[in-house]
This record gives sequence, structure tokens and C-alpha cells, in this order.
Amino acid sequence: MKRTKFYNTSEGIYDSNGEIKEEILDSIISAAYGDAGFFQKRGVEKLAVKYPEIKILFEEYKKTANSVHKLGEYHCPDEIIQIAKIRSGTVEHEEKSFFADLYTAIFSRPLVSFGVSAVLLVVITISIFINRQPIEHRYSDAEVELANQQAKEAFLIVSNIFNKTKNSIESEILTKRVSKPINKSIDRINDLFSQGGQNETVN
Amino acid sequence: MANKSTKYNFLIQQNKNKIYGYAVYMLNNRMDADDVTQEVMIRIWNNVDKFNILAAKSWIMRTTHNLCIDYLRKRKIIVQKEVEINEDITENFHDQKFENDPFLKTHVDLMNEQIEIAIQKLPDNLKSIFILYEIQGMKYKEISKLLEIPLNSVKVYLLRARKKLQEELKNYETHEVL
Repeated sequence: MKRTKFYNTSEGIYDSNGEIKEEILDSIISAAYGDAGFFQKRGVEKLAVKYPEIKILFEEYKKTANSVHKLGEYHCPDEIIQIAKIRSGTVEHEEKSFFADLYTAIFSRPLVSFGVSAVLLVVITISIFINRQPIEHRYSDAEVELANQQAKEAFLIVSNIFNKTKNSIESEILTKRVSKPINKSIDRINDLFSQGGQNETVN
Repeated sequence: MANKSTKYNFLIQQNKNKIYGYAVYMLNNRMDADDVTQEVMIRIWNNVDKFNILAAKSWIMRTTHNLCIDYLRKRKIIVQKEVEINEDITENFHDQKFENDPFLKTHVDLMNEQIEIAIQKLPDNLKSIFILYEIQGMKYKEISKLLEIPLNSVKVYLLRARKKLQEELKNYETHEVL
């Protein structure tokens, strides 16, 4: 099912009066002013690529939209407010209150509220960092002595293992398993050589 | 009384520019805009205890709109083909971004003038929605509630306003060229 009818451009983009179809024009305007949905905007962009007249129209509306959005706010003159206060009798009822002035100064101006909040946050963060005590690990002398003793015992065990291994290699493995068979083989070869020499002599 | 005063001052600070700006655009006359703004502020004072401060914006803008419509009806404005440029209004509108570049500032001022003249030529029902949405930044729902018209009508009127504005700008350019 197609999402929007007017993207089906096989019927053309113009109506019977030769003007751009209403739905297409509405989408162009919405896209130019920035309140079209994602698919609507994409559809307009595709049409702009395909049809130069759509592109021109889109650019014109976009230019107008940008100018409209750049229009700033009118600033209400203070004298109007003063006159209104006098006419309504507000001036008589206003009590000079430091806290009321402070409330108005801080909360009626968003920038001031934001600034005050930011400053408070920074001050709180800095004070947390300054006042943070480093964590010190304290061990008693007895605990240190015990740890040393245990370390020495562990090293001793490892040393014993290495010595036993060394002795085992030297006395048993090398002697019995390696050198003895080699010597036996060499003796055997010598015997063979000497027997061969005797046979030659006889012959 | 201090509480009422505080609430009143807070509401005025938050909404004064919106009230004044809307009145200026709708009435195209600074003196009338001053009168409407003062009247709205007096009514805020008289009713400040009666409404919820969170819903106040809607009430305030509705009051401003209704007063503007009353003024327009009283004046029975005849729509002119050429609108005189109100220099007081353009002076009041101040954009500090282009202060350093006189050429750019002049260009921006001219463009703003064109746009404002074109906005003034819109029919009242389209103009109010256009101003509330594009300039005041209100949402469809808020405008619908404020003007007491259906949501779809707001969207339709806004589209019409944009089309009409584009036509007016084209006519203005054509006129300038001639």
C-alpha cells in the first residue's frame, strides 16, 4: 500500500487547470516551513529533483519561510507596563519586598535561572571534590609480620620444588634415561666396527 | 497582596512581549497596540487570583486576541492596496545580530519590512493564526484552544495564510520592479 497518493506521479503533477495539484503544493509549503513529516519531506525532495518547477517553487517558499522565522520579537516598552500598573492600582499594592524582588529577578528570567542553577551546580561539585577524604588503608604491625611470614613460607615451598626437580633431572633422568642408553648404543656400534675389522683381516 | 503582586509581575514579565507583539501585528498601529496591551495587563491584574498560572498563557493570548478583534471592528479598517510603512514599528523591532554589517543590516531590514507589509495584508482570520504559529511559536493545539476552532481548521488556515503571503510578496516584487 502506498503511503501517500500524490507520490504516484504517473498521473502527472498538474491538475485539470494546469496548476500544481493541491496536495503536492500543500506538502511543498509544509516542507519549506519545516513542519512536514520525514516521508512528506523526502517526497517533496524527490519531486524537486524530478521536476524543476517544483524545485523553484520549493526554493521560493523556503526563502519566505526563512525570512518569517528570522522576524524577531517586539519588545514591550516599560512605560506601557507602568501606565497599566497605575491604571489598575497595582502600584499602591506593591510592597517592597526583597524576597519578592529576588523571586521575580530569578524566576521570571529564564537566563538568570539557568545561570544561577549552573553556578550552584559548579559550586556543589567543587566542594564535593575538595572535601573528599582520601581512603587510607591502615594495617597493624602484627598483620604485616604475618603477611611477611606467609610470603617467606610460600617462596620456600617453591624453592624446594625447583631443587627437587633439578636433582631429579640430574641424577635420574639424565643418567638413567638419557646417557645410559646413549652409552649402550655407542658401545654396540664400537663392537660392530671391531667385529667388521676382524673379518677383513681373516679374509 | 504580596503574593498577588508577585504572581502578577511574573506573568507580565513572561508574556509582555508576546502580548505587545501580537497587538502590533494585528492592529498595525502602535497607539492601538499600546492601548490593547495596557488593557490586557489590567485584566490580568483583575483576574490573577482566578486562574492557574500554568494555564495563564492561553487565557492571556485569548484576551489579547479578542481585544484586537474588538479594536478592528470598531475601526472598520478598509483594506488598502498599498500599506504605508510604519517607521515607528520598524524601529521598535531590533535585531542585534547584524549591527556590525551595515549592508547586511539594511538588506535584512528591507526584507523584514516586505514580510511585515505582506503579513498586514492577510485577512484577519488567517493573520491571527499565522502570527500565533510562526511568530509567537504556539502549537496547533494551543491555537485551536485559544481561538476555539477545530485543529484541522488551524492547519488549513495556516496553509492558506502561507499561500496568501507568498502571493502578496510576489505582487510586492512585481510592483517594485514596475
